[in-house]
Amino acid sequence: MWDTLVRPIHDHLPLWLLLWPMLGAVIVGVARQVGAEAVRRTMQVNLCLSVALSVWLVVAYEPLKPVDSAEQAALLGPIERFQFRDSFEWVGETKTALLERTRRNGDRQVVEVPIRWGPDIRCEVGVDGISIWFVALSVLLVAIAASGEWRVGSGEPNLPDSALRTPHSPLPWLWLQASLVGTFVALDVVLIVVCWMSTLLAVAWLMGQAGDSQRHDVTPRLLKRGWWGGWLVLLGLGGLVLAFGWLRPFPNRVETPLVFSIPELMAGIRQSSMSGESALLWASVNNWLFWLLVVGFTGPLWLAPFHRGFVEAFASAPRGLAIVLAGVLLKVGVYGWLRFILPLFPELVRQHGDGFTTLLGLSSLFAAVLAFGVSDWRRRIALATCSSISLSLLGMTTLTLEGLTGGVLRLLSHGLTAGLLMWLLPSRSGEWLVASGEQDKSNATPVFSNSPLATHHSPLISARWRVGLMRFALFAWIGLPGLGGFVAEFVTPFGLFQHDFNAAALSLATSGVIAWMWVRAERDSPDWSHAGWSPRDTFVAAVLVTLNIGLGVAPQFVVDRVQPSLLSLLPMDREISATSSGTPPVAEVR
Amino acid sequence: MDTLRTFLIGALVGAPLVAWGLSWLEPWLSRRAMQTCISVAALLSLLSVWGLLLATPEGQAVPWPILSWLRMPGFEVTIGMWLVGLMAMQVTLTAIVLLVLLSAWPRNASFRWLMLAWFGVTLASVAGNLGQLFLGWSLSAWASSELARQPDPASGKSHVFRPVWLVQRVSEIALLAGIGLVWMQFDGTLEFLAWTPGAIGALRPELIESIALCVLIGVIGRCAQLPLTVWLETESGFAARAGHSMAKLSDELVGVWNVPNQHQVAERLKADPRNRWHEAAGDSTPAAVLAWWLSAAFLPVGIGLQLRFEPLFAFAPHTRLLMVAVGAFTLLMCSANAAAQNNWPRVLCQIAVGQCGLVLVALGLEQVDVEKLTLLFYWQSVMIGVLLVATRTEDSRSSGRVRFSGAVLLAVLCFASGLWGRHLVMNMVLWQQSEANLSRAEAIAGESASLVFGSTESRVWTLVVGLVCVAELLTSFALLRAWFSDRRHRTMQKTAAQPIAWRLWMTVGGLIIGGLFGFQSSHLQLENVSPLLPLSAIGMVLAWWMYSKPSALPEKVSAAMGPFARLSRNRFYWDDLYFLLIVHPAKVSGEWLRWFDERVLGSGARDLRSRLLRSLGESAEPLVAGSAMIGALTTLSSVAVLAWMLLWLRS
Repeated sequence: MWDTLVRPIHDHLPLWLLLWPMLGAVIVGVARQVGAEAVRRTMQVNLCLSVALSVWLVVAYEPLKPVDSAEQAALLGPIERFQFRDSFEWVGETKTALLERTRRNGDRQVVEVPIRWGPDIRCEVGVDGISIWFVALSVLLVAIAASGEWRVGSGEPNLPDSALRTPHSPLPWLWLQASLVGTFVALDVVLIVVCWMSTLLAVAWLMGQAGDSQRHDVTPRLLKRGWWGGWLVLLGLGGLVLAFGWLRPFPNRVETPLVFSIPELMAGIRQSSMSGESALLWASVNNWLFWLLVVGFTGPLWLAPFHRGFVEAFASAPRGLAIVLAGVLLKVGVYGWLRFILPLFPELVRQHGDGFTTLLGLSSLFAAVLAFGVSDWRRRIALATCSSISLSLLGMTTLTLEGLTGGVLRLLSHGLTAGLLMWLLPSRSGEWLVASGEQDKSNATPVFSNSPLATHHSPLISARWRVGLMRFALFAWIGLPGLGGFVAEFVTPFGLFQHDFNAAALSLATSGVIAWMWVRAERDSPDWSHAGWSPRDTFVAAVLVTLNIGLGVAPQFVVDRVQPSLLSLLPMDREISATSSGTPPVAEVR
Repeated sequence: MDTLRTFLIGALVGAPLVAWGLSWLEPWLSRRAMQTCISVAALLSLLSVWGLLLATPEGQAVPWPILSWLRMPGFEVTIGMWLVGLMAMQVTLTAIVLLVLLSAWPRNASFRWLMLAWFGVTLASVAGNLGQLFLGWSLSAWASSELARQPDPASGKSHVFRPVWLVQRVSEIALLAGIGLVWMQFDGTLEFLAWTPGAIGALRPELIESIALCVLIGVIGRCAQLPLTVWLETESGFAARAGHSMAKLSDELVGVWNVPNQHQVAERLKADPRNRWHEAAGDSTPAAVLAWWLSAAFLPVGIGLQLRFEPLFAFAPHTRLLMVAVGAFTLLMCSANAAAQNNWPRVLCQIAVGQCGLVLVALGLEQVDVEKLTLLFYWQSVMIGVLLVATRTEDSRSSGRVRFSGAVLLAVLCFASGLWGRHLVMNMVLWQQSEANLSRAEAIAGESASLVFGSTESRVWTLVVGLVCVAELLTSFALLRAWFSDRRHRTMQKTAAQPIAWRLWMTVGGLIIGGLFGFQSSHLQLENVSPLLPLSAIGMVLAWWMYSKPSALPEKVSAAMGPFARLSRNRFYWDDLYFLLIVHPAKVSGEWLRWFDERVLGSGARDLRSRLLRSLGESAEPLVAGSAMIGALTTLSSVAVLAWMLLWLRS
């Protein structure tokens, strides 16, 4: 049973998570021929299974799993950081060629030699302690967003046929899910960029089909920044691949093969650049590659004062897309920092550390003060998101374990909290309107006003629920003890104070302004007079609230999984200092 | 034994949580069922804390680590329990207060926040480390503040809520700063066990003073001491409430009931809709909520924190001196304010906060039996809670007068005669300290010209004695004045007979008082109390002379006192200052930055970019005809530059 049914899934969970939405797209395509209800059911099953797989992935990941062989241990370290790995040839292939060899005695012999044709670009996937959380967050938020965005006609009995017809295609949601998962599980340089670019296309599709009247203006700006960032990253990563080729000694071959595998690239560069001629070579190119990657990954983060495009897009996007935008998509750049910049360029990060932390601190404070000055809820969330991401990156650039852990925890808690907040806000682009093909709110009719759809409670009770939950979300964002935001607020300052007092002061000031902003914002609740409250709302809110409380009450579950991977990002000296004073499990293994 | 202990800890902490969970079912449960459930939870909490005390060695604080919340290289945060006798008493009395105020809980107020606040108080009381203590501290403050919103959930606005919320946040920030300093100076630990005399003595004195000062500010905010008294509701209301002016403040000292009918002052007060006496006025905090604040969530928790930090305060003489000064002036101010309130709950509030100031004075001095002192204070808090609950009327929005004259009379007698513990505390402050000082002065005679004792200089001590005496006079005056006013009001209104439930609660109150009688009989030294009794008597005679019959005398006194009468209204404009100095600048800067963001960074950059592009386009206009070729050349040259760069990098 285990070997035949469970193990094939268990051992390839990231691959399943990547392929499942694609398979779902095919099934949905078939189900469309049957009817809207079949499509809805198919989507529900698909999303639920994806969530189940991601939960399984998180639980099955072993943070301290030892590597299988001594060779791998020498290259990648004693812990098997990247697990559930799968690798398939994608571009280029390995063929066997027949070579004729002449012996000393004059005899000729034909031998088979494996020869690489084309670059070694592979479809390689796997996860480490950092990426599992991004994968889980992506799957969860896309499932929530898709269920909320694509829900008109959810089996209510008294609806006309026109209301039961699905307003939009569900395919971009599946595409978005696959692309996001691919971005975080990709272990190949080209695959990660392709998946990242692919998410932008899915976003464009979703904006186009459900955004508000401003979507034609804001979508290109959103995409342009992403594409620019992506191309710069591709250039930087390409340079990285080339540089590693030059650094790597292959005495028997004239042309060294280009390595596109991320784990090998990182481990190899860290080892090769330690000393000798390779170190000199690396020193001559690393500045260029560093800045290419920094600009490429930081640009799409939309940090203040370069935030306007994101804020406008966030305000115009349909609710579901806004959840994914703020919750996951914006954080791909931070993931890039964690995956490439911090492990490969620790000296440069340290060299420019003061500049980075000061700029990021000022950026976060600027965004927070701007959020204080706006009255629109979506813009508030967007600006607070920019501020939160700056703070996450600020913690990470300190290159301390506390800063890194706090940064990752902040990303997680922010995703859950921002998702809940966005879910509670009244929809702007007609998700709760009868799908009559008209997206203009003024011409559409609120569903609950003429039918029992989507609400089992009166608007008064609904508003009470929403007020209570919104208060919960705001307190979680502020960092009330026992909720998700508190852990990050608690852990990050330890790293910041180790690094620089000014950065810590800026971070604390930002947290204070954000807290103050939310407390003031809570006084003017959004207009929920037209919003209902359905069992789906209850379910989604319960899931997000439970996860938020879970993160606040039992953060060790996350920390245990993420810490070994974060330790491997630290420079050697800090890694040693972090482990020497600390807890038994990690310290023993390291 | 371990299993039993774990069960008891679970019951102690779990009872409020379960009750909080049940309170979410309030819409579906009857009120009586909810009250029964909460009563059972409170009794369970009582039983478990006493069970835990039995398992604790006599007089020792026992830390019980339960689980590790967060483990990082370099530090570990554990969750545990630290049970000591006084803290157990605090938990016990909190449960008793809860039982007392359950039946008086306003019908339009939910139990939800109350249960959450109860959990916070329990957590703060039995916290195993400073982190948990802060969690319980902030949770109880937040949930208790939210109770102030309950009277009017529809509008979500309350004139009381804002000052309470604000002051509690100030208190939390100060405490957090103190905890941060403790963390940094005690090797990254928040455990109480780290505070050994050796470790504290190794710190720099100014550092200990800084920690103590931060904690003291936290206590001041929590206990409504000067200058953070703003959350106490008084006759003049708050700055948030529009329409008050200094000119009207002294009017209220007079009281509408104290002037003959058709008198111009009475008519003016009755005609003013913002006046407390106007029929439309009714936004005061319910007495049951006040009882919770003063008897469970705020004052006892603040004093409990002070006790937790006692080892650090022992090494911080300057902060102790400040604490004595703050407590003494708060005692004086609250006694004076009590004499100006026309409402029983407010009189009781002022007296409770004043007594808290007295306890701070006592804690700031040496040679004081801390355990006895704190125990007395806790019982006094419960007593005030009982009296506050007894002030409930059928309509909680009305003036809130005590409706059981026997209980009032008993309370007045207890207050005035000093048999209620107040004089015992004063006895500690005045006479025991005096004896200790004199004996110490004799020991160091000849070495110093001035009398120096403990942390407090003799001049400050003399000032404290003076303030305590004046406060005693004013308190007696305020209590009897309030009683006269209540009697007159009931005569005018012809109040209906009491429901039988109140007799039950008064029985509880009587039992508590009886317990105190028994407790104090073994501790009270009447010869030390007697010097304060004449002061009490003078205050009562003064009140009788001014208020036993309608007259214009109070008005004349008020006019003669001038600014002092106005000061007694407790109008400090903290709200206005907060708005002017913090909120308004932040709003203006936020709006200005938004303008900068939209106009300069947004439109300005866009204009600049479009202008540059237009210029570029105009200058390249002659080449438009060959644009395809230009595009191809640009692409090729880009590729060439890229290739060259890569080759150059490689070399």
